[in-house]
Amino acid sequence: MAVITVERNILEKNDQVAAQNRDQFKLLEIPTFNLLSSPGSGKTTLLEKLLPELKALNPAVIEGDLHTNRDADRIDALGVPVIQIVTKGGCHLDAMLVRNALQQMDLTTRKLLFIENVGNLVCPASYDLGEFKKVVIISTTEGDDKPIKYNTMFSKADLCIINKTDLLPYVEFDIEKAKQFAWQVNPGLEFLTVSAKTGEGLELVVYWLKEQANQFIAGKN
Amino acid sequence: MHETSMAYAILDIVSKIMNDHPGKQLTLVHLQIGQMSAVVPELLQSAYEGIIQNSPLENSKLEIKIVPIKGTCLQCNNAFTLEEFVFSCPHCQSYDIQVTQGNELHILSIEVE
Repeated sequence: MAVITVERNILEKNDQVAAQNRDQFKLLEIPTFNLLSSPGSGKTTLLEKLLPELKALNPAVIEGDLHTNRDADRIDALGVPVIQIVTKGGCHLDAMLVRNALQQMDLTTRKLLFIENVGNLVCPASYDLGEFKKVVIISTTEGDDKPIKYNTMFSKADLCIINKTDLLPYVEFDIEKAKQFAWQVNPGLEFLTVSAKTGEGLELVVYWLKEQANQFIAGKN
Repeated sequence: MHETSMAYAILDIVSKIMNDHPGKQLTLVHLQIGQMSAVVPELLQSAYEGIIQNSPLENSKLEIKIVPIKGTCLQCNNAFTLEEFVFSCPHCQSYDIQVTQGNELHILSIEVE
């Protein structure tokens, strides 16, 4: 029997390509936001409301789903360039899938890119895509203990958006509890509350994104 | 479910190493998996067993060592093991801490014969 030292990261290939994606985003001066959530939290609806407000930044979108082009069709209907990645059952996007999508896009005039990850609060947390910031979205119809149950995801997030606040009178969701749980795993995590349906709170998400985009361009990345 | 992707990534790395050692059989792959990495060891093990069937690596196994989450408090310099994913210092309760281990997804070494 012989032992051969390896000392390598299992996800080294993903991380290498993620670094290349990140370099490309810097070169193109395009801040990229990785949107992460469980299925049905309202990621696509939120995007549908945000994109018209961010027109000045000429945004583009990469959509990730297990099956169908349904989400991409919704973004396309807004006149925003979109590439759909269909993972055919794969539970997360990885840096290689994003690189392939980037090769199909002309990003030269774009100042903002959203990557809507596959709806899943576990697996996408492990895969760096080269994004500038990770934004986790939870909705009030989910439990307010999601941050402590799916702690890896929340520990890596830069912003948490709580969506569907219009349903708060009808559900048990406690916003303060959700924040306390999240701060146990990610002290100081920023929160914004929004109803993508009614538009309440949307302006603060738009403001946050524009601020982040400015910081990215100013080189604070 | 991402354990399957991880298993393929491991297979990719060790297969290339085995190409440099003709005539040798892979028996064991030593891994270090951090508690924060959201990988379930049992699922990774069974995913690996599934994908190596009928391959030259068919008789190999994964040996997985779980790495606990450790941190250092940036206020009082206390070094500690984090229990239950609570990222605060047990000594001074500060949240100003730096995680020093627990994110590992490493292939340490392989055993061949």
